[in-house]
Amino acid sequence: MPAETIDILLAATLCLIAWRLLGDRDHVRAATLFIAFGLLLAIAWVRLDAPDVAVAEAAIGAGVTGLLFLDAAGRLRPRGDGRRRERPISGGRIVAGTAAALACAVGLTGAILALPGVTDGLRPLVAENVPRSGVEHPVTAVLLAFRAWDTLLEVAVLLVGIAGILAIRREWAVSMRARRAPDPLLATFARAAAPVLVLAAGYLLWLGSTGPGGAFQAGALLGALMLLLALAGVAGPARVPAAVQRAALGAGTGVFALVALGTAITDGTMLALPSGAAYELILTIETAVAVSVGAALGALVLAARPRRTGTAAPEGEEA
Amino acid sequence: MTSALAPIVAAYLVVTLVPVLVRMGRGPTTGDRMLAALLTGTTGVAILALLGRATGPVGALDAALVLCLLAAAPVIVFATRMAERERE
Amino acid sequence: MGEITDLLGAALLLIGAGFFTAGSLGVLRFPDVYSRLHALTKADNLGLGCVLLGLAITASDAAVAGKLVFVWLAALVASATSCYLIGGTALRRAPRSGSGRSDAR
Repeated sequence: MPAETIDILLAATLCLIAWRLLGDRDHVRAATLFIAFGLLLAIAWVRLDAPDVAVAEAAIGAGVTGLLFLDAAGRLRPRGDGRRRERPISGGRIVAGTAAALACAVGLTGAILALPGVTDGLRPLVAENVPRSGVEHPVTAVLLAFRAWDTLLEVAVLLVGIAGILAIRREWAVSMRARRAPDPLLATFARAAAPVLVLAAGYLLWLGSTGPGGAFQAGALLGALMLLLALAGVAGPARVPAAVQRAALGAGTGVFALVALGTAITDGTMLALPSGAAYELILTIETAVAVSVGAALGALVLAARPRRTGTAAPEGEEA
Repeated sequence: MTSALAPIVAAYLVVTLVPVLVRMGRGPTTGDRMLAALLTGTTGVAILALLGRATGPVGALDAALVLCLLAAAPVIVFATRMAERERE
Repeated sequence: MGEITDLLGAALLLIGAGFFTAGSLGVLRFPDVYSRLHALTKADNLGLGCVLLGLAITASDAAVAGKLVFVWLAALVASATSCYLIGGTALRRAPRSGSGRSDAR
């Protein structure tokens, strides 16, 4: 009984937050509510027995995206600030909008109810083949053994995305230099947290073969590490030269592609991992992907820093 | 007894989130909203830990717990950005 | 797992819930950022601490207990740093006495 209570409470709270933030004029407030929404959604995913998604939601949905929204919101003027008179919404529009929303809701509910009852879906098929994949965890098996091609493309998309952002800024890498004297507490925190984050990332990466974890989650922690070091101003001794940064960004796609090419040559089918070496290959790919994801996420947030006035970023700027 | 109590406390903690969310809505400063976000994250960690006990030992939970801590990340970035902006 | 440990664990859970209650009520009702931060830290440190401690002493094995303690320590450090930063930012933007002004944008 308590379990259902939690679900009902969570669902209600999530709906309330979503309702509140969508119509919000204050962008900063909306962005903060979005972060809270992401955090609660992560709990909901755990309740739905999807811990892998929960971790991704907390890291990316609440952490990275929320952060980016917050930063952007801070630079926008609030809506309806008087420069442009907002027309009141006509009654007709309200009716039409409500009708459309109701129709969607009814349609969706009908579709869901029409679905067959709880079935096993693909689970038996996956369970059957997991032993052949080289790992024990079904999610990892699906991501990196059965549907590796999709994952490869996803990693490539991430690379393209960050490349696009860097291109817009006309830089080759993001600067990790501190903008001001480092706050001593933050600096100490960063120095203390750094090895912990590395260990935790490694642990999650290794755990991925037997339980929820893997490249993406580890990458999120590494991205947080990069961010922390840069913002705390302690990246000095650990300053990453631009070339290394670019290598890190490309590593995931590169290694993945190499494996794909290799298997295509030896086996005829891309990414058909040989059963003997499957585990090692998956681990290698995951490590490279984790590094890439970390570098990409860190770069994504750091790239949103306003450029210091008057400095054009030369190529290969020290990062 | 602890295991039986865990889901109840978890459900209760979801309720304690409501005042926090109200504060998040009201503000007035962004700092208020940030601390509300922080409290939401910490409460989330507690809820997850309790749920983990309720549903049995799953390594899953640890990952989710660790990442709930990443809720601190937006706060740190926000604070640093604010300071940067003042300097500029 | 002894009876006493179990009872203690349950008690800790309830105490922790109490601190969380105090924390969120404080965050809602206190007049300004600084006092709200004060309330926040009670929930963050003591609330989470008691809950995790209660779970840890009644944990099924040492590994789980260890992880719980680790999470608590990490949360402690992260939240302390974050609260410090929030306080510092608030201080720079508004005078120490009185409530924080709304964001001027």
